[in-house]
Amino acid sequence: MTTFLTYTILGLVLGAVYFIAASGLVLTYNTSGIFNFAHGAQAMFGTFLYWQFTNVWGWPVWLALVIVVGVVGPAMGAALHAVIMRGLRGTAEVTKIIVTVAVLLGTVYLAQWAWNPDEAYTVDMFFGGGAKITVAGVVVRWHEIVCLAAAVAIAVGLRILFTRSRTGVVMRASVDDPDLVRLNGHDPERAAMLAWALGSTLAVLAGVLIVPISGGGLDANMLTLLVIDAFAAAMFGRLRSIPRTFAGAIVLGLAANYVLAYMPSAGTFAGNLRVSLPMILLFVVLVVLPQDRLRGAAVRTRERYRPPTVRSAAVWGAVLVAVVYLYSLLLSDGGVSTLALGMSFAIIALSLTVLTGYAGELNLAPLAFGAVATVVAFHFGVRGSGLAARLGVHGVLLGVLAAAVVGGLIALPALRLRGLYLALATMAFGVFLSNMVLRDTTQHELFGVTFTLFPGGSLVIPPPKLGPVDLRDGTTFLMTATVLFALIAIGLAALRAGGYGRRLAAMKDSPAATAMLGQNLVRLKLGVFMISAAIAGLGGILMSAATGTVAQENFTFTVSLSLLMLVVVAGIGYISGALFGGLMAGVGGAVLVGTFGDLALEHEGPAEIFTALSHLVMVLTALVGMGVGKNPSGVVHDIVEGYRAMRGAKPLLYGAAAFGAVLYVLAVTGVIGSWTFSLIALSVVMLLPVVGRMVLEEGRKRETPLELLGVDEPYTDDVRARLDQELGLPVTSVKGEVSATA
Amino acid sequence: MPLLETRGVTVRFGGNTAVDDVSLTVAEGQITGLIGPNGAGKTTMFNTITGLQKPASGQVLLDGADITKLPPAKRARRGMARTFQRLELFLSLSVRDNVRVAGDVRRSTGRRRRFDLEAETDRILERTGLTDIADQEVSDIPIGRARVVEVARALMTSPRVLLLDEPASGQTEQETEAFAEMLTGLAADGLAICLVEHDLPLVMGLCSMIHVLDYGALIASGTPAEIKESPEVIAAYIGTEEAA
Amino acid sequence: MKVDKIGRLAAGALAVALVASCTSERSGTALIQGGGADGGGQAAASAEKFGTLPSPCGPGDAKGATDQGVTDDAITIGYGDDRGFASAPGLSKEMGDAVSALIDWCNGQGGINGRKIEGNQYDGAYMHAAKVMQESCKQDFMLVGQGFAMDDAAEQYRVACKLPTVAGFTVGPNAAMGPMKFEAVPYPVDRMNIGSLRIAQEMWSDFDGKTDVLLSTSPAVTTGTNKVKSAMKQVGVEPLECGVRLNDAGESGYMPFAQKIKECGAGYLWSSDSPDPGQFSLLESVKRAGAEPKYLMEATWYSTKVSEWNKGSGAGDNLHAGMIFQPFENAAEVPAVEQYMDLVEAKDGKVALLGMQATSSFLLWATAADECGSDLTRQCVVNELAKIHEWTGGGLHAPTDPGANKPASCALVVKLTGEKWEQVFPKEAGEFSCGDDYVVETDPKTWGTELNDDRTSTKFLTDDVIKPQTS
Repeated sequence: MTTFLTYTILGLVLGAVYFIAASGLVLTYNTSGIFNFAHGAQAMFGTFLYWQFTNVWGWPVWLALVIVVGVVGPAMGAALHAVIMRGLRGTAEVTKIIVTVAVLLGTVYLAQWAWNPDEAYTVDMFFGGGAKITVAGVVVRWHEIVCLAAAVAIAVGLRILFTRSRTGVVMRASVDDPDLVRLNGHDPERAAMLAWALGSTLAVLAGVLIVPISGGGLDANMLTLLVIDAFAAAMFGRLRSIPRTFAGAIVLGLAANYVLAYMPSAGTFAGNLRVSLPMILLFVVLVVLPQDRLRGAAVRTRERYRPPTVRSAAVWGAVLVAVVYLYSLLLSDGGVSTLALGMSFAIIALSLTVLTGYAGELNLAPLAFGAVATVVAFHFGVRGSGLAARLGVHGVLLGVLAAAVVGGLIALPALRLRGLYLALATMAFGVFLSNMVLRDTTQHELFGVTFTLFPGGSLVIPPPKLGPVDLRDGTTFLMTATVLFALIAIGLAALRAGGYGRRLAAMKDSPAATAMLGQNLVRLKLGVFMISAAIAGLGGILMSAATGTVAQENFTFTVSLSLLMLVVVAGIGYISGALFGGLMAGVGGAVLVGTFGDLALEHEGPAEIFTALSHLVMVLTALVGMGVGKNPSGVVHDIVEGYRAMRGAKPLLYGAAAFGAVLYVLAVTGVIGSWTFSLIALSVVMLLPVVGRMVLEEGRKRETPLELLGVDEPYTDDVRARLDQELGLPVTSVKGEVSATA
Repeated sequence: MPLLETRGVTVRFGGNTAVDDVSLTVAEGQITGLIGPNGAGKTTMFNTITGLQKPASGQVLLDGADITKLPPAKRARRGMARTFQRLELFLSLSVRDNVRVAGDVRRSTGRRRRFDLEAETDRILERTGLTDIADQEVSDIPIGRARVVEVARALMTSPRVLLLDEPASGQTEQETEAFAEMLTGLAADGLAICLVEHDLPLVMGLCSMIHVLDYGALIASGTPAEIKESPEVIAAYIGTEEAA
Repeated sequence: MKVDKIGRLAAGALAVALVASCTSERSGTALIQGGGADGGGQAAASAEKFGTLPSPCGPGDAKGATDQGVTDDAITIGYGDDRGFASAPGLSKEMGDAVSALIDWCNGQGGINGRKIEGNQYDGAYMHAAKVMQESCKQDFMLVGQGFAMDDAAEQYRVACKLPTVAGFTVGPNAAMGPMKFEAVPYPVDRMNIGSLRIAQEMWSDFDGKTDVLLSTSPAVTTGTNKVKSAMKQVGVEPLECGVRLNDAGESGYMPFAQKIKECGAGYLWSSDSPDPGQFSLLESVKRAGAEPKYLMEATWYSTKVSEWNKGSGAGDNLHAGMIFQPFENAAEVPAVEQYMDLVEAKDGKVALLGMQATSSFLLWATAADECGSDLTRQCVVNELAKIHEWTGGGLHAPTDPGANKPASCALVVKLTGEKWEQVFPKEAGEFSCGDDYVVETDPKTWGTELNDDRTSTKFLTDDVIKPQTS
């Protein structure tokens, strides 16, 4: 009985912990419509600060607590809202998700920079770990009682705030209809900022309460991901109801403890299953959620993409292959394989272009599908042994097929769901797969076949051999990956330009209207999800082969997230966005960090500066992600628009091309290094539109804005005709008649 | 027999009854009006007929068959099409593609797989008078014409019954005239049209049958002449004007 | 707009200030500080020795470009670690720091037979070991003292380009058993040093019946624990199976596990996991639950991270670690340890156990290279390495058999109290306890690879590799 009581109390405490974490999520989602993936990261950062105050600066606990919970928490939330989140109104769901993901990654990088992960950080319980009472033979610590009390207080407080108080009602309304709130004399932004401040405070409070309960060990990644377990609780309350969230959290906490206490959980499989419990629950909760009503395009999102024609995709594909080949001549063997790895990431990124960019659906775990394909290819596709081992075409195809099928199976129950829920379902699947398959090192017997899914925890993936093309050679690998990228890209362009692509675009813009054309949305989504999973599978196999040996770490959720983030930053509606985003995620960060690392090794004096810079690179990539709210269509969009405007400046383009050629000759002949070449070439590509705009503007008189027509110049018939056209009036109309039907 | 019929449809949002026991009919080759003050439940009625909203009770029948449980897409495939009061155009597509995509869906779902998509698109654009702006982005065109694009898109599904939710709002007088002419033509071709509209002169001029909703309930049905005389209708309309 | 800008600037400034204040406190990774000053003088005095090992370095008149990476006056070797891994910045940094310090030390004496050593330092950054290996293949004579976690990913390239290595450590089974591979402190997959288990049996009479093994969901740790469990059964220890398997990505609470351990009555706990916040939390929870088991951990637990943690917590006061290296606390008794610390500290490097392993590997390589004299070829170095069957790195560790890729058959055990480590077995600091039964053969099922008769992994083996020639 005492045992049962002990586990029950531990379960309640864990449930309280989950609830505190989930409550902040519910609060911010309810009031700003943004699901804050960075919630755990905020908790982590606050807790590190608390540690800094108490353990390093020697502040008393109460003071540190007041500062962290009372000042840092609200300030962090308010700052996030003011600088980042406020700019997210009218953006697509993916943009909102990505921005919080960027905050998550940035906070983790910053924490790892500030607090060396190589050292131990422990946070003590309030009143110390020894302060305890014994109830019915069960030891309960004061800190745990504080935690339970805090959970109840927060639950009651939030419930009252949402249902009884005026502020709470304004908060909730400001997500549904900010204009209405404004009409009623309230400022929706103020309500939202208040909500963010409160949510962030709850996050920090959760961190300070949770960490000592779990044992005190503080780690940037661990705490950040721990809050993800609380997602299931938040989803139990459909991200709206506080009481249901509370119930969900308690159930989750108790279940975790009872499973541990009364079910075998020490075997590899059982242990992995226990660890996956929150994700399994999350998936189940998502699937049994009642279906939302079909959404219309009530909000005009700000993202804009121009689909390419098949012809231009083909031309650019050929250009890409040529450029990559010429560039590969400048690189060392290591550089070539790094670029090949990046190119395989770019292929995975294409899976996001078609899924998110074209169809508006979300997948937070593209690499999980790469992992599925890799495991299948490893088991069925490897021929030969030793250095002669190769991955056959049939292995690659089987892997791709498996990824598509698994993609379909995962998506099917989740497809009735809206963007965010589907995203969470893919996340749950990604984490589940990572736990269950990529750690499955034991032998199984099924239908008389013995097999081990992930022998030894890592798979050696030999280079593929596609017919006569042997990918053992680095350059061959790179060129094959590039050609595959180009082919898939052309295929996607063709798909987008055709009827299927138009249907995808329609579904993305207005599911309700698309359904009213007779389109079965589930079938359309299922199809595009499978296509996307297949592409991710192909990219995943190539990525694994380029890496050589892959383990669980190669497919983690965090890698998927940073890939998605960088693709969105580059422009998820563009094939070139996938190229840039994939290259950056696959190798860009590592190359930059590595370069600064090497510089630090070579120059002992400024080593500190270079080390700091290499940290800064990581934080900066996250900052760029946070800025995506300002420019939701992506960086590529700007560059493309820049070049579009420059079509008139032919001499400039020819000049730049000539300059590039000279630069390349210099690099080939070894006059300048490949690094210098890359940097200069990149700068030219980026800066040319800017220069072009300046040149073009000098030659052309600026057009008068509409509202100033006729002010400084005579009001001619031409001007009037233009005005009519712009305002959409029949050209012949006479003033006065217009307002009649309004 | 009417092509479209609702029997005792009731819709509730939480505790509020938005539509209360409404039975109405829409006949082939005619334009049927559905009018009523703001918040009377007209759009909710459309949503229920098209399957975007589940009724608490009641039935929807198309061509005599009970379609109450069918999802929107299946209803569309049986010949139902609509436009939206809050425009639901596909903003990333051009005007032509907005219309063409309806044909794409038709092709992919097995109804009349073989037809000349381009010619059909051109024909519909021509008929709705959109040829001159066919290649513009829909986000760039004025609202009045955008509503016509929605009609064109709906026509591209080759519907038997067409539900129009305030198609004339935002249109200029010329546009409205042309629009009315087009609707008459479509009805003459055998299409059943149900029209929600605030422009009462337009409704009175076009419709052969009118249903009036107020606070979710059907307060009158009849010819325009009958409706004009109905005391309930007058009371409902005067009541709202006082409120407004 | 303006307010936004100021706010952003202020936030930036705050972040920078925070970072600065924290990083300045970070450099204290060394266990003992202040040894740097007299270390310089000592280095000059013992220039011809490293601990007990006569220095392989010195002037000479070696000539000729005898092999890739060798010229008249220089030998180019590669080395490195995973310090750039984004998820764990600074991973195994002590490896590169040690080799880089040793290269300076060796060049200070004139290099090897007069050829200076030029080092190419690589950053595998965990994911990029294969790339690093390809770079090394192009330019280096050999890879020396490196430690890449994903070395199995790089192995196929190394074998293909016939690059011999004296690795600092190996992780993957194919890398550990690869052709042309030597290690100062080998951990072959087919043999295991279970010295700490033997010592535990000697120290604690009830060890056999009251021991449990902590499990993890991490495949790497699982491989380790499987080996230990099968070894335990060989020596008569029957693990209790308390049923604790921890999520290596972190648990939301450790108290239930502690409760299980307590109920199970485990007196001793073995873990193959490395010290991370999750493990710390478990130990802390066990203490809170009122259980007081003794811990027997892998040598990775012997680190400042652990002692710093225990200073505040005290939950690790019963923590023992078995090692075949001399602990830094024995620096007074063991000159080689002192010398390693001085050399690395002088360059502000990170001092840690693995650093000594890299140091020993470098010395092993240098000794073999020195034997080759002027005619320095890969074949010659491989021949010389294969001849060395007793190696202590000048006294850094218990004797191993690098030539035959066999582990040491000795061990010592250190215990943590507060923030202090202390050798507790054998009683005499600086001594090892040895025995033939300290090494057991492991179950081929746990190898993770297949070996041929030469105990070489067949995974990437070709006929065209450099094999030791006996002349």
